[in-house]
Amino acid sequence: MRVQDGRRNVARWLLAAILSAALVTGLVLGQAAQLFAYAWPLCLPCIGIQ
Amino acid sequence: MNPIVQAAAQLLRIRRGWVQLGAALATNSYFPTFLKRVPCAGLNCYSCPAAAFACPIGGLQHFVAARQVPLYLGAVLGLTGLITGRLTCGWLCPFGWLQDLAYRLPVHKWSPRARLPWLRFVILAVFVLLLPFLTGEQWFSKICPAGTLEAGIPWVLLSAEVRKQAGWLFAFKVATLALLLGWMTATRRPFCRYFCPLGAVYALFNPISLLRVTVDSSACSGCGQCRTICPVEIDPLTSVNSVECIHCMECVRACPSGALFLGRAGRAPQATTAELRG
Repeated sequence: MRVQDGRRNVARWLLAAILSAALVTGLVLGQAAQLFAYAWPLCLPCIGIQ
Repeated sequence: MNPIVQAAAQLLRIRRGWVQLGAALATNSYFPTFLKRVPCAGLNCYSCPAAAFACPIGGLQHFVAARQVPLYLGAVLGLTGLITGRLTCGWLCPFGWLQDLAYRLPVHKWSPRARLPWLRFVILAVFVLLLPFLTGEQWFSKICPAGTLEAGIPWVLLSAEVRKQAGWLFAFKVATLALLLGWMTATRRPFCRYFCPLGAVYALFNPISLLRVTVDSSACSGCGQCRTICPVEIDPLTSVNSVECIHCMECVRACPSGALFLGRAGRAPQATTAELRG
């Protein structure tokens, strides 16, 4: 069980590092602003208009 | 005890319905729209006239359709999942709350035998990733019942221009929503259990999330209250923290013997059901 816990912790920290790097890269690339631009007008397929 | 578990223990002191109401109001607060740079934690349509955040699934489709890797959005969802697992599904998602409320209606209840935990992963892969990548269109949005309820119906009622353009797709979406609403009254959380692609994203992180429920097999009396109360009808003794568990922690609250508790991250259940039930 301890081996499994250890592996889980390694997976957790590895993923946290990868996701943090992705977050910073995404922000530097301006993806938050892109998301804002996307989410501002109406989503026509969500409403049911093609 | 890690701070995530401490925070969750504090959360358990509050009635879940109040937190769900607060989350639904906050995500639809018509707050200054700069928050649309941030994806909503739960499934909430950004086209809802009162929406304050961006829809995470809509955002994912947008980036994939534009053939970009959704680094920012994927990281926000991934980190949320890594810290809390599917806590969002159980406590913060407005569409999950709607299903909890609908199930309270006094109608004949039906529990489907088929569990199909893989189905929402197929929906995530096909409708959110593959089809938008191949066609440049947002396919899940075309079938999303949250979009119909929070954006489609309000906008058709509010705007004559939108009303004029609403055609067969709108009719199809309303019919789908009506069927699902009916199903919600009879079955616990059918959308979360079978279809939700956002739940699928968080489910990927559930088995390794910092927030975990621990089972102490030696304390279990076998009363079965945890199974009775579970809103996704899993057996918490074997499946807590699995991809199906929504981390609502109702089992922790219901357990009379303290056999289920919020424990140290990484601590695994100590026995199987067979061992527990002898």
